[in-house]
Amino acid sequence: MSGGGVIYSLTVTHRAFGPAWTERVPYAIATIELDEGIRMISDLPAEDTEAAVIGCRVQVFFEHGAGVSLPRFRLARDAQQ
Amino acid sequence: MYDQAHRRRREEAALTASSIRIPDACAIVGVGHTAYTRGTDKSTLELHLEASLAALADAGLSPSDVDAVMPHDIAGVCAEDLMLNLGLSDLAYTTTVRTGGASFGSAVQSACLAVASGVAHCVLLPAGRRGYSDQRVSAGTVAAPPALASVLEFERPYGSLVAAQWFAQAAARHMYEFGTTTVQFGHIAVACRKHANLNPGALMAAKPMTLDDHAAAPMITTPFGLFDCALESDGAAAIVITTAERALDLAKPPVYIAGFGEGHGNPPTSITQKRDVTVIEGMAAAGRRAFAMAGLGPADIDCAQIYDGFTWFVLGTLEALGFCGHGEGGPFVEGGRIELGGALPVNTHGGLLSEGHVSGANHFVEAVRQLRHEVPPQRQVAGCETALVSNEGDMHEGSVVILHS
Repeated sequence: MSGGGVIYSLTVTHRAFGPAWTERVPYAIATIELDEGIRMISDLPAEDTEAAVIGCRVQVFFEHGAGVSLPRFRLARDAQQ
Repeated sequence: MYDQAHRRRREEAALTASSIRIPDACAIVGVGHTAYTRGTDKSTLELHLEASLAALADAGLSPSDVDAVMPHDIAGVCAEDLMLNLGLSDLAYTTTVRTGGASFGSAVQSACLAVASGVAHCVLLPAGRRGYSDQRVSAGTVAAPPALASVLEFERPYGSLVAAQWFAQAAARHMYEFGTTTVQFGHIAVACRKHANLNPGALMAAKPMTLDDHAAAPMITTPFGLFDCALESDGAAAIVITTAERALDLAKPPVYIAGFGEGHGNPPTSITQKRDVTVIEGMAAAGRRAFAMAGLGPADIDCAQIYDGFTWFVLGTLEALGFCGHGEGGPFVEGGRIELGGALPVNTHGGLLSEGHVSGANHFVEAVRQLRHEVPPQRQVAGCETALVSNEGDMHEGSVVILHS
C-alpha cells in the first residue's frame, strides 16, 4: 500500500465528546479513500485543520506510543487539489 | 450470486401469496405522551408508564387488554419492567427491535406481523428517554450499541466518537457532490421550528428561529451547528396497535397501517465505509417495501413525519423515499414546500429537532393525530388522509410506515 489517498469526506469537530479531545478542538476527522480503494478514518494534525477540504491528497504517517503504532494521515506536502 | 432483482420479485410474490392479509389489517388506536422537558424528577420507567397509560386511555383500553409489548432498543426499559408496573399479564409476544433510531418503526412492523397472524391482539409500543437529565448524547457518554463494535476500534482513536460526527461526513459529501448548502439544511430546521411554534407541547414552542439564527448557532461538527441536531429532552410516547376490526369498537377513529418496511445499509456497521454515503440506502429499501405493500407512491402522501436526528436525515430521507431525486433535496426543501401549507408538510409537530426526542415515537403520535384531524386547526394539514412516518437508525438503516384514515 502506497499510503496515499484522497479525502472523501471531512468534518471539523468543535466540541469535545470525550476528555482526551478537549485540548484538540477544533479538529478535523477525515474519511480517506486510499489509492487502493480502501477507506480509512483519521484525525488530521492541527496544522492541517483549516486547509483540509474534500478532494485533498493525504499521506499516511505512523504515530508510535503506548505499544501501539497508529496510522494517521496528513495533507500531502506536494500538490493539493 | 446475489441477485437483487430476483430477490425483489420473490418478496413481492410472497406478499401477494401470503395467507396473512397485511395491508390495513392493523390500526393504531391509541397515542399518548408525557410532557417534553429539560429536566425531570421522573425515571425513564416512570416516563414510559405515564405515556403508556395515556395511550391506552386514548384508545379506551386498559392494561388488561394488552397482550404484547415492545420496549424500544435504546430506552433501557425491559418488557418485564412494563409487565410488573403496568399490571400486564399473560403476554403472548414481547420483542425489542435493535436498529437504533429505526427501532420504533421496525417495532411497528413486528407488531403488525404479530396481530395480523393472530399471535397477539393488542400491542403496546412505548419509547422515551431522559435525554437531557441523564443520557445526553452530547456528553459522549451514551454507550454505543453492540452493532458498532467492529467499527469503533478504527474510529474512536481518531476522535470519531458520536453520531453527529458520522452523519456530518455524509452531509458534507452530499454538499460536495450536489452543491447542497447549509442554508438548505437551515430551511429544514426552520420548518420544524415553525411547526413547533404552533404546538404548545413542543419543547421549542415559545422559541422562534430564523435562517439567520440557524446560521449563527454554535458549530458542533461541520456542517452541523446546534440547530442541525435533535433536542436533548426528557419524555416518552407510546402507541397501541390492534386489529382493524377491533379498532372500529374503540374510542377514536382508526388509523390504518397500509404498509411498512425496514431496510439496512451495506456495510451495516459504519457510515464512512459505505460506497456512497450520500444515499440513505436502508431508508430507500424500507420505503420501497412500504410503498409496495401499501400500493401507494410518494405522490399519495399528504404529510411526512421524518425522523430528524439531524437536518441531514430529512434531506436524505426525502431523496431516498423518492419525493425528489438523488441530489435534489436541497432545492426541494426550499420555498416552503415542506412547511404547513406547502406541497409536503414535514414534521408538523416540530420533530426531534423542535418538539422532543422520543426516538421517533412522537412522529407516529403526530401522524395519527393529523389523520384523525385532532390537531389544532393552525397545525392541521388540510385534507390529510395518508401519512408517512420514517425512523432512521445508527448506520443509515431505515423503517417506514404508511398510515391512512
